[in-house]
Amino acid sequence: MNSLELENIIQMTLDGSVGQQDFALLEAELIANPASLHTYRQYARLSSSLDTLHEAQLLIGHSSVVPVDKVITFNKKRARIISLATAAVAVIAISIGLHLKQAPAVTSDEPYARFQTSPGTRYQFSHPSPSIEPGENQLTAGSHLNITQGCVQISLPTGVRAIVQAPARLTLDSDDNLILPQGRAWFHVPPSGHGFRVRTNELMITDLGTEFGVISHPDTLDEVHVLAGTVEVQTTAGIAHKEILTAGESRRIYPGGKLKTTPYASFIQTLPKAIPYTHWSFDKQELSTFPASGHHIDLVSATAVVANGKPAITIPGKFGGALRLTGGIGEQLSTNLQGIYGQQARTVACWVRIPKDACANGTDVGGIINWGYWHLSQSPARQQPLWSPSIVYPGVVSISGSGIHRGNTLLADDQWHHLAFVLDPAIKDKDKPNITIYVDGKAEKLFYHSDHSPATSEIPPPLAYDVTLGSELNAPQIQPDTFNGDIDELFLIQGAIDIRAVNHLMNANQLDVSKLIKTTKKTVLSTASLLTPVQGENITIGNHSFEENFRQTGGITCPCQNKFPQPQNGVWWCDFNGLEINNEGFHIVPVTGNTGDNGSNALRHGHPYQNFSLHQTLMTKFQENQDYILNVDVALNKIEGHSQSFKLKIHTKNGKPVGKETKHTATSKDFKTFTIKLSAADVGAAKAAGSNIQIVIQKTKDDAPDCIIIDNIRLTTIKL
Amino acid sequence: MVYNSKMADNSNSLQEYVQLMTQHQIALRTFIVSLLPGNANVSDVLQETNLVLWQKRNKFKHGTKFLAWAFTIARYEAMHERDRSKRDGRLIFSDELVNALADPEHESEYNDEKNERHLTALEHCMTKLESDERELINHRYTQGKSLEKLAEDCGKSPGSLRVALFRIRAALKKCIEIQLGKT
Repeated sequence: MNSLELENIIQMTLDGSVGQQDFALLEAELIANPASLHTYRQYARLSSSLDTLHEAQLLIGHSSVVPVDKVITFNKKRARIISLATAAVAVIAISIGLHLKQAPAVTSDEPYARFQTSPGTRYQFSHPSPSIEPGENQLTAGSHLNITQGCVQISLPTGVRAIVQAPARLTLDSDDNLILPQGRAWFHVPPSGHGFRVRTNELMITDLGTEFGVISHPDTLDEVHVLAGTVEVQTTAGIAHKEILTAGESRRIYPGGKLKTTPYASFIQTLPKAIPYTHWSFDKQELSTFPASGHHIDLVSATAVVANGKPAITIPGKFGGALRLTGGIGEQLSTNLQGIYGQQARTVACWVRIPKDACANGTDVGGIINWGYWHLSQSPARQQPLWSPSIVYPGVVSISGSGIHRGNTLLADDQWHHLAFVLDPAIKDKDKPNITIYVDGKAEKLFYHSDHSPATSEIPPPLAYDVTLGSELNAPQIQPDTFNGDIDELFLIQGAIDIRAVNHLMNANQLDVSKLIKTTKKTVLSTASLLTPVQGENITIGNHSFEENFRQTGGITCPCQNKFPQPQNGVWWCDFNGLEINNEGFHIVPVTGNTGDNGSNALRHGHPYQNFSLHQTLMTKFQENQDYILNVDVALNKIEGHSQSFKLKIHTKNGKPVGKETKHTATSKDFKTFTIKLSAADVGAAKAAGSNIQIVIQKTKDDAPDCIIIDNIRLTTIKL
Repeated sequence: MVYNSKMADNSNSLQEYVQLMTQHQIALRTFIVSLLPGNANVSDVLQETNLVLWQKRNKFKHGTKFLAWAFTIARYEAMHERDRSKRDGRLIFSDELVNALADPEHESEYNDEKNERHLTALEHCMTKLESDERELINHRYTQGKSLEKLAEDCGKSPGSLRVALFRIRAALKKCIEIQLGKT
């Protein structure tokens, strides 16, 4: 048997597809020839490794992390190790069970630990059995605590004290054993508590007389930091490592189980008097920097530095000084502060004053604050995992991320307005966004894209960018567009606040949620919900709010191909001499880096010698007491120095015009926003005609032989 | 030092035992695959092995080779599965070949560090594949599909897929050898 035959039969055997004759041949060969046996072992190992690798990828697929290539690369070794560990999960579960049995004799209804919460903290707790009812704010062996916002202090009978920051999940295994799958926690262990142990998914930390901090998260590498005394740290994922650490030493577990030194991290050591927050007042500028205040463990990192190094313009604001940004390059402020990630609750609040002409040319005002990871996905899901409160054309509030939420109050009026952007993951209603935007203390009516999942910034450090003030997050190597207006009293709060707290913040310039606390006494799976979410009325028009995001269904390069480029909201068609043609005259083109472009693709309209008009029926139910505006971002495709005129029209399906068409000219490769208004009366007329409404974009002159490209078509409402 | 039940109660010892089990999962799976080629119940046999390893934790002599101990149990469990397969009329290796495959002389090939390096090399080599080749491997292993089912889904003949898979795995094996040779 030659080597090729041997390898083929081995593979067939491992695949389970070998025939009896070949199987017998292989067996004889393996018994007779050690070299062949070695080859067989190599293929068996390859088969086993491929199984293992793909199990790990399945685990990644089930994680909450956005499947970005870099993140997968970053995490896959960890997931692989987790996968291996899960193979022995039954055994480990038995092990934990034995620990419980062998715990010191404590009756299950004996109060075990007490906990206190900082103002605004949200948590759920459960006890091992409905029959167990420890006292108020008490935990017993087997109790679980899930902290979604704020801080909790836990005091054990042994004298151990812990401060745990949200988001956190923990289980009190016994009075000397705490399991922390997620959370950032500080522990102080007196001599009476020596031997106290904390377990994360990857580490086991045993106290040897000390004070230490632990950072545990399912999607990042776990860490331990010794602040005083000594601890023993042991890896529980990958290859086992054990080290004794003393004060000032810290370790992070890396894929494979190795422990490496990691930079110092700070931990909250006393229960805060407020939700953790950072406040930039812009009252004081020193060497182009603005200090931050608030309740935050790392206010030094929150110091905001002007990116271009020049002194920022400051003006009198609502409270003391304010920051003036003019849209100039490098005016934004950088910090070393980490943002708030995943579905963690958050609030951004500030005062803004926008010049009247800020949106005159169809431009956006810009981002107020941003952080996260820039990723422009070409996948249909079109994930942009970032969370960027901003003001966009025609001067309305906006949150962009995996979804797009916009308000309708026009803010470009030279007046100060108070804004608060709140993400509250406690809102689980699938028909409502968990984002509320307040303008001048009132919940804004939100227009949002219901096809997208809620906006989040799911990719955590180290891939994510730190917090930046006064710009939107932009692609790497591209200078971000800076805000064009005044900003004052900017708060970044690690929690969701309600309308009363928003108004208090607006009027007193202070965060005070202490008076909002309601104590809830519950036992099994109870929720102490301390804040009352208030939602704006969302305008969901029929099945779709309308915002066009063009996507590519694969290989679209020719306008005459049968594969039709699918916009997000429906099918566009061309009208050529009265004939409706579904697949000619336009196609999807990739666009990146152009002003006004929010996506990777746009719709290219036109052919050098054809003068099609583009149509799409808006699958919407228009309200007759509501005005609408349609914004279309248009740019020239290729030809600089030329121009292309076009019309925006709204028709009934039978061609009857609705409202007045508008004429425009595209002159640049940079996108500009063009607008047509649809009044309540127009809507009424269209309805009277019993017709759906179509949007029409029509080239009127073949000025530029290589046509226009269209992106970001938005229909939004305006107040009557 | 013998691991008796009293000592097994010691949480440190328990932890160490669990660690050993966790560390050697790849080796155990590879060993079982080699004894039961083409058998769809490899994961079940591995899990049975884990269970027995746990039940017999008190009999493990601390300081002795865990892998040898674990392979003995894995072999026993694999033989159970082999008997079941034989009753079902499936092809199984003879005792002589099983003995050769389970030769303790080769246990060093399965140590944890080698397994980790092998996996790392495999990951690297996967990136060298063309996208359609990677897709084929992913289909085969992620979804656990047989070649016949995979061929049906792809609208291709099982023969053409088999040839492609064989070629890709042979390339992966060679690439891994080169990678391991570098380190």
